[in-house]
Amino acid sequence: MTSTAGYGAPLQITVRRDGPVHFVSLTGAASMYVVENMQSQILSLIDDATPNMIIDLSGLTYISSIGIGALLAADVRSQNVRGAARLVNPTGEVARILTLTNIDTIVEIHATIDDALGSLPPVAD
Amino acid sequence: MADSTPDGFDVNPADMTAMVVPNNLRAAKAPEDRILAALERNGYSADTIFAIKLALEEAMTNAVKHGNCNDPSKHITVRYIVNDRYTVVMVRDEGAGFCPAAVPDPTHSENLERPFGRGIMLMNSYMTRVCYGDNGNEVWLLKNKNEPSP
Repeated sequence: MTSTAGYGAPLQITVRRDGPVHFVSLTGAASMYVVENMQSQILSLIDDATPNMIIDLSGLTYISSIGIGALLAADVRSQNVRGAARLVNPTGEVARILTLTNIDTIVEIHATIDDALGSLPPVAD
Repeated sequence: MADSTPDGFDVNPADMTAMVVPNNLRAAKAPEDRILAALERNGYSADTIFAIKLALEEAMTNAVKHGNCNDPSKHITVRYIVNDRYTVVMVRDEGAGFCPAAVPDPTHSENLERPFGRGIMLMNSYMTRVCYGDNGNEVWLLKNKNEPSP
């Protein structure tokens, strides 16, 4: 695959932690053959100390149903430790796919990271 | 190998390129790369290439995980033809098959958190035509080159 078009751009995952929240940015294509590693990496970040996750999708150029499953898994894992996952600013075809699959009715999607941050549940002491 | 194509798929099977790959998603990247390269050579738009990549990945993911049940001893077969009018792709697994009509709608509220059905729904949304072989272990995808995105 030599194209650098959005559907072929390598997936990059960047992570930043601030207290009980991990900020994860996904850029490039969440192609089927990278999703397993993506899911493992994301889920490993969620625990009792950091139960919340904000996933920035603004740079994500491709996702399929297996990638959607990874996002849902993050949401489930977060809720299991009394936290929550939020998705931020999906664009283009990624936004269309999330709408087509009604995922936007399961996991909250916000336009900005600040909006997502303000929607997170308080972390129990 | 199948020596016929479903109704509405006007291709000669002998003209299709065939690849057999091990049953895992990393191995499935090889036929995907070849198909995407052929689409680019034939001047397909980025939107159309996206649609074909999506449907192809849904078909191969279903083959690996559901058809072949993640069995590393099994294989998936991919056949394809790309020209300046259309693309046809066939994906076959070695499983027992299934009934696509029996898969519940994944967008209904009671099914949203179930891990089944989204792939089939996305293939249907993005392709010109989707057809299953009699056994249900073979799916045919047709995308007309100049068809707009859904």
